[in-house]
Amino acid sequence: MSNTSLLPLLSSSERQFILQGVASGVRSDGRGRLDARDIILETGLLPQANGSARVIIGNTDILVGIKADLGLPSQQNPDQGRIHCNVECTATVTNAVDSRDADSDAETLGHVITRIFVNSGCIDLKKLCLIPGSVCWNFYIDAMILGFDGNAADAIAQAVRAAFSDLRIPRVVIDTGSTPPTVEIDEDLRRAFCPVDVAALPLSMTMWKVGMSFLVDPTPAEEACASGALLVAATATGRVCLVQTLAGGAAQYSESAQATALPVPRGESTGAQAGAPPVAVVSAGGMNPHSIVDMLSTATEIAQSVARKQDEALRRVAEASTRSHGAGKSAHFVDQSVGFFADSFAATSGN
Amino acid sequence: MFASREFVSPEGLRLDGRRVNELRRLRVRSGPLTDADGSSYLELGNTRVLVAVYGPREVSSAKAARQTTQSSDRATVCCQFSMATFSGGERRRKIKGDRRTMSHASALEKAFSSTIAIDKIPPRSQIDIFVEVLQSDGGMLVACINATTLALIDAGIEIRDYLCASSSALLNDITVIDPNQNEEQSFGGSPTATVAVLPVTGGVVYLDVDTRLHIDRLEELVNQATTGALTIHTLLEKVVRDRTQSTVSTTSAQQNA
Amino acid sequence: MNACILVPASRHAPLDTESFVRATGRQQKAQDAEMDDTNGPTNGPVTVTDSQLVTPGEVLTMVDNRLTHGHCTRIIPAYELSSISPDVLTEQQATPELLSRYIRSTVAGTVSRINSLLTVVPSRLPRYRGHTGDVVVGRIIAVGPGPRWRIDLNARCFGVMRLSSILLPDGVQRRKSQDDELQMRTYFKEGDLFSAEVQSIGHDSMISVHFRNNKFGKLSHGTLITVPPHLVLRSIQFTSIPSVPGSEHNSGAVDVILSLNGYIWVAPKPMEAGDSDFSPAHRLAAARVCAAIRALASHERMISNQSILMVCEASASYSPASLSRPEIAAKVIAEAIR
Repeated sequence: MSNTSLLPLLSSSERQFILQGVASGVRSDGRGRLDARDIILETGLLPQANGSARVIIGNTDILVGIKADLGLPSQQNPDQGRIHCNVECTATVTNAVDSRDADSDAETLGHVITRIFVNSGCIDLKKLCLIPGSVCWNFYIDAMILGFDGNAADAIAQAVRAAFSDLRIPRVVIDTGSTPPTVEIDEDLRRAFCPVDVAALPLSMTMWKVGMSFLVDPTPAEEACASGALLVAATATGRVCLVQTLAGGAAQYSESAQATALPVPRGESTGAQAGAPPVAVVSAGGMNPHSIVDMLSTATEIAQSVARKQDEALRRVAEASTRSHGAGKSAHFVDQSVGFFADSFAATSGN
Repeated sequence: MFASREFVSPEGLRLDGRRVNELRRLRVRSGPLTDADGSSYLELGNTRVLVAVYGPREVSSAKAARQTTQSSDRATVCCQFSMATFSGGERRRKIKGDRRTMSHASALEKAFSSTIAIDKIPPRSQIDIFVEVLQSDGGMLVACINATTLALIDAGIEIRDYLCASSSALLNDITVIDPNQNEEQSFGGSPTATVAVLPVTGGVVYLDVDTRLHIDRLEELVNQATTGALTIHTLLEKVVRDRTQSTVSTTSAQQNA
Repeated sequence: MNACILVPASRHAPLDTESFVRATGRQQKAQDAEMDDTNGPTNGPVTVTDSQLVTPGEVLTMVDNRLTHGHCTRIIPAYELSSISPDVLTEQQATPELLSRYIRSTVAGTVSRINSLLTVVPSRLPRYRGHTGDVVVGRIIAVGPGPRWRIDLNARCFGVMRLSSILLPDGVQRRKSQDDELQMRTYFKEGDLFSAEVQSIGHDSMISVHFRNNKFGKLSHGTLITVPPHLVLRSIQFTSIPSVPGSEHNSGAVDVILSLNGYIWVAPKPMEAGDSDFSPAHRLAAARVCAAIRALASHERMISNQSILMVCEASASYSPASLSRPEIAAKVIAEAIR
C-alpha cells in the first residue's frame, strides 16, 4: 500500500535498523530478503457466491468473492464476456474516520487486479460470451481486505486466483432456433463447471526496494521504509502478464517519486516471452533501470513457484472438503484451512 | 412467488426443517481479528457478520471539530455498517452512505449507546464499532447486535448488560421465530419484529416492526422475539464464560507463580 | 416504530435451539439461585467470592455501606429501569428500588476483593489503563502545543510528556528554559520512541510520564512489538539476555524492555554505545526473541524474561522466521510450558 495512513509511524533509528537489516540479509523477523511468509488458503467460504477464497499472510487477511450473472456485452466487445474487479478496504482496517486515503489505495489495487486478470488476456473472454451482442457472462470479483499486515497486492492476486479455482457457473442451453435466441440455465448444480483454466492464471510477486536492496513480502514497517516497488505478474509457466511500479511508504522521505506506466513498443526485449502483451517498463524513480531486468527474472521465478504451490494447495483443499462434506466445499471461515509455504528462494536467484 | 407453498406444514415444520419456535444454528467466535481491540464473528444460520470494535480512544480531530461544546465531555459511540457486495442473493453495488446502510448504522449506534456504560468511559473519547455483513439470509440486524455485544465484551469495554436480539415474523397467521430471508420476504413482506433486550433488567432497547400489523398480533410477535433474545443471552453468556475461563486460567496461573 | 417499552416475557416457553453452544444445567441452576435471592429484601444478598468468574450484568453483591465498588462494577440506578418492571429473572414484581441495590459487573473477568474494595479485573485488556510507577514505552505523536509532547501509549487516549519531565541529552539536570522549549523538536520529534515511567494519571485517564533516571530515554536500533498489556508480567521490566538460546555462540546480547503498556522493545545490545552495526548472527538472535514474544502473545501466555527464555530454548531447532508458522509455534509453546 502506498499510502502512509495504513503504515506505522517510525522513528528514524527504527528506519535505519530496518534498512541495515535488509542490507545485511537478516530482516527484523529473521527472514532473508527473498523469504516470504507462510500463506494460509481457504476456498468455498461463501455459499452465496459462485466462487470464493480467503488468503491470510501474517495478519493480512483477504476475502474474495466472485459472483456471476448474465448480462449484455459491451458495445466495444460484443463477442466477449465481462469481468469487473473491485477491491475494498473494510473499515476495520482503516479504522480511521477519514477513509478517503484508504479508498484511493483500494482503487489502485482494483486497477492492478483488473490489469493482471482481465487486460492480460489470461482469461479467454470470448468463451464467456453466449450470444454475441446479446447475452454474455458477467463476473464480479470483489476483494475485501479484512486485515493489513503488508503485501496486500500479492495476497489479493493469490486470493483471486484461488477464487477462480473455486468458481462454478451453471451450464446453459442456448436455443438458437428461436428468434431472438434464448439462453436457459441448467438448474442442476451438480453439472456446474469452472469456466476458467486456473493453471493459466497469473500470480503477482512484488519486489520492494528498501535501501539499495530488494525484498519480497514486506511487513508494514518495511513498506514504510520502501522507496518503491516493482510488481510482476506471471503464470506458472513463466508467462509475464504485467509489470508495474508502485510507490513505497518512503516516497515522501526520498526523491523517488511515483512512476506511471509508459507503453513500450512490441519487440523490445525485456525478458518477456514472445506473444506476451506489451510490458510496461519505466525508468522508475529510485530504481536502477539495469537492475530491473534482473528483478524481473527473479520475480517471475518466484511467482511461478508460488503458483505451482498454490495449485497443490488448492488440490488439497478440494480433496479435504469432498472427504469431509460430500456435496459442496465449505472450509469454515474460522476453523479449517490449508497452509502452504513459500520457501526461501535465495539459492535459486543468488541475490 | 411462494404464495402457493406453505411456510409452515401442518405438523409445525418450516421449510428448513425447524419448528416455529426454533432458532437457527448459532456459531460464534470471539476475537478473530487480532488488530482490533475487540472482535467477533457470528453465524446465525446462513447470516454471517464480522464485527470489530475499537476504543475507548481519542476522538479523531475531524469529529472533534464537529462536536458541540455541550456534548463534548461525553464519550461517543460511532458505528460504521457495511454489507459485502457478495452478501446477498444478487450482487449489490456497494454504495457507501446509502439510506439503508445509514439507518442501520444509526440504529446500532443508538442501541449500543444505551448498552455501553457511558459514565465509565473517559470523556472526549469514542468507541468505534465496525460491522461487516459477509452474508445475509434474514435476521441481519439481529446478528449484528449479538455480534457487537460479543465484540464489546472481547474488548473489555464496560457495558451495563448483554444486548441480545432476535426476530420473529408472522407468516400467514403463524408466528415464527428467527425467520430467514425467504420467510421475511414471503407474501410480499411478512410483518417482522426485531427486538433487542438487556436480559438482566429486561429492558427493550430496540424494537422494530416493519409492516402494518394489527395491535392484537403485535404483543405475540414481540413476545416471541423477546424470548428468542433471552435464549441467545444464555448461549452468549456461556461462550463468554468459557473464553474468560480459558484466558484466566492461562494467565493468572503464571502471574501467581 | 422504535419504542422502549417493556414486555413481560415468559422464560419457560419451550425453546429448542440446535446450536453450537448448549445451555447447560449448571447455567440453569445458577439462574435459579439468583431467582431465589431476589425474592425480597429479607433474603440474604448474593455475594461473590474472590477470583470468581463473572460476566457483564452479573450480580456481585448487594449495596453495602462497608463496601466500596471500584473499577468495572456498576449499580444500575433506578431511573434506568422502567417504572414498574417485572423482574425478568423471577417473573415477580421487583421494584426498581430493589433491583438498583445490586452491584453488578460490567465486564467479563474475575472478582477482586481487597479489604473493602470490590472490583472486577477484566480478563482481556487490549488497551493500557495506566498505573503510577509503571515502566512504559511510548511514541511521540506531536510536539506541543506548549512545553509538552503528545504521546501514544497504547492507552485509551494520548498521554503527555512534559518538557520539565525529561532528562536532557547532555545529562545535566536543570530547569528548562525558553530556549529549550524552542528546541523541543531536537530532543524528541514525531515518531521517536522512548522508555519512561508513569508519573501520574489525570482524572480523565490522561497518562503523564517522566524520566525518573537515566535508565529511561530515547530508544534506537531495535524493533517494537505490540502485545495486549495484560499479558506482560509485572516483575522485571528492563532485561537483557546475554546469550539467546538457539542462536550462534557469542552472537551478542539482546535487550528487552517488557513495558507494561504492551509496547515491547527488543534491541540487540551494541558492543559499544552508539554503535549501530550488528552482525547477521546478532540480528538473528534479536529476531528469535521477537518471534518468541509474538508466539507467546498469540497463545495468550504471559510474557516475562523467563517465558521468553523458555520459548527460545524450545525453538532452538527452528529458524526464527519459521516460528511464525502456527503449528510450529504451537509445538514450541507446548514444549516450553512443560
